[in-house]
Amino acid sequence: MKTYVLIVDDEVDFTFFVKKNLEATGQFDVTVCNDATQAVARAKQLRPSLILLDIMMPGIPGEEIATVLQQQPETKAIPIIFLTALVREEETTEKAHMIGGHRFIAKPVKIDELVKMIRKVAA
Amino acid sequence: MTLNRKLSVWFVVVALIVGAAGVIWVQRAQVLKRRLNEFANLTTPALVALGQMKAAAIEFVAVPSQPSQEAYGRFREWLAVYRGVASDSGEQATADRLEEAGARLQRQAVESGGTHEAERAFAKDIDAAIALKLVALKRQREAVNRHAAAAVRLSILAVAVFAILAVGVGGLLAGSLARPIIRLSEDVARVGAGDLRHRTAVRSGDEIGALAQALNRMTENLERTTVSKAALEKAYAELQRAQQQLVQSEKLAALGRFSAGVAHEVKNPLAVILGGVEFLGQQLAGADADTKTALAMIEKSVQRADTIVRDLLKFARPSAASKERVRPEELVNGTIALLTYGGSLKQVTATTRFAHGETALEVDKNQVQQVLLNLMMNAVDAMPAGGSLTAATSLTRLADRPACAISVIDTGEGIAPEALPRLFEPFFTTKRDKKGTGLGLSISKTIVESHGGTLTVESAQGSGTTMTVTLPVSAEGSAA
Repeated sequence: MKTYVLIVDDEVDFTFFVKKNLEATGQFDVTVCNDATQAVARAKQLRPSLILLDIMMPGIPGEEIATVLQQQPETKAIPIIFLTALVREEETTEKAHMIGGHRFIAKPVKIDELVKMIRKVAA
Repeated sequence: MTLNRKLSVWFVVVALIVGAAGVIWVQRAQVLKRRLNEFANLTTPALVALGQMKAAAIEFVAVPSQPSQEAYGRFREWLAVYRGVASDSGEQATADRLEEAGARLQRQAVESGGTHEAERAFAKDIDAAIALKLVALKRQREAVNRHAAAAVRLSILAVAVFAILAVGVGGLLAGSLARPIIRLSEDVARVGAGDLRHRTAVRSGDEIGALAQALNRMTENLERTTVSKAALEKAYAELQRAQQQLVQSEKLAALGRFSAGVAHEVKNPLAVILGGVEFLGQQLAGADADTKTALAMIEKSVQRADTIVRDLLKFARPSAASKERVRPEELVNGTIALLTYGGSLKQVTATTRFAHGETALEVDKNQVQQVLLNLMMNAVDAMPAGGSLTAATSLTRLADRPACAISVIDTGEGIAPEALPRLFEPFFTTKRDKKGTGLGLSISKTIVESHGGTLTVESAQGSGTTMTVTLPVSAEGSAA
């Protein structure tokens, strides 16, 4: 059975390739959401197995979306991996690659690293 | 005693001396006057009386047959006058003898018509009286002369004594006035020349004493304000240093914000490129070797650009430096331990040499360790065939403040002279073929300077390089 992944990131080109590359492994079904404001609604509607969430997005920051998702009964069990361009202090000083209780992975990211991380979190 | 009182006392003393001299002198003058009066009042009438007596006697014996009662009466009148002015018992006796002689002469003249013998005897008596009077006169004149001379001597003595006293007392007074003033003026000159610690020792209850105290108070105030001027200059210098550091950290903060923005804008396209390369790699799974090499080169470049952006962020991030007291030895040993356990030393032998004495630095330990690690890694890289790395600390001064120098010395290939001036420029690297990004030394320099220190290099091609980090030591001196 394939893992269902929701990618929330405003970078259209980036999400295009991540979706293509993840699907090419044959292990994932991927839905892309480029509009941060729609992220929570999409998550509730689609109930993915895992969400890849960009931190720096116009409108709503990724951490805020994560907090909201954790408060909703329908979405609170969905694991989240933050995607980050590593531009803020806490992103480098946080220990064990965690931000706000979630794992994060820095852009640019090689697809096999991403797969490894997803396997670890979604297991 | 106030000056006013001192001067008053002096005037009283002088007035008493002058008064006493005056009183004595007036007394003497009065005695002299009396003597002169005596001389005038007594001696002259006596002589006149004697002359008149002689004339009267000659008259009443001139005509012996008719003795003149009238002439004898005149004789007796002048005798009374003579008696009246007789100055001593001798003259009274003379008067008695003259009276007796006059009476005898008159009697003889009446009885016997006069005799030459009686006349001669009388004339002899009169002449004797005159001679006697002349002797008295001489005596009196001598006495007057004596008194006059005494008065002159006394005047001279009084003038001399007065002059000596006036000069003596005046001198003492002037001295007692002038001495403290002279000392005070010397003290003022000394203070004026800049010796603000000097205090005048002049003590006195008068206005000069008050002036001396005022001078001491003034000097004290001056010393206080002068001392605080020095403190002010020091504080100003420190303020300037702090300001420079602030400007530096402001610059860093601005650079940090700028770099964060750049990093975000660069990393996202890098992520797209990497994703694209991987996608193409799958799509072109059966492509020729050149195509695969091209894709691999693109991916490698993406990784390289990513590393540079990471370093740039490290370099520019305004870190919330958490400063702590740490001993330089601890920093050096900790860094060497990192190299040793990380297996980075390879063929290189590391030794340390520490300065004597306790010194502590007030630094962000992680940042400074990052600097030392960077310097030591460079040193190891400079000795690919092995060599010796020495980390040495020494006490020195930086901008006139105590500082600690940490030197990293290698025996490697050295740095080419043309590379030295560009060594600390961002993105300048001599390890372009390897993993270097050219940011290590400029990051290190930025970190050291943000700690108020300096990073310097000495290198001779072929004989090695010495990199020295100099940091101000913590104000408290020794490590806690």
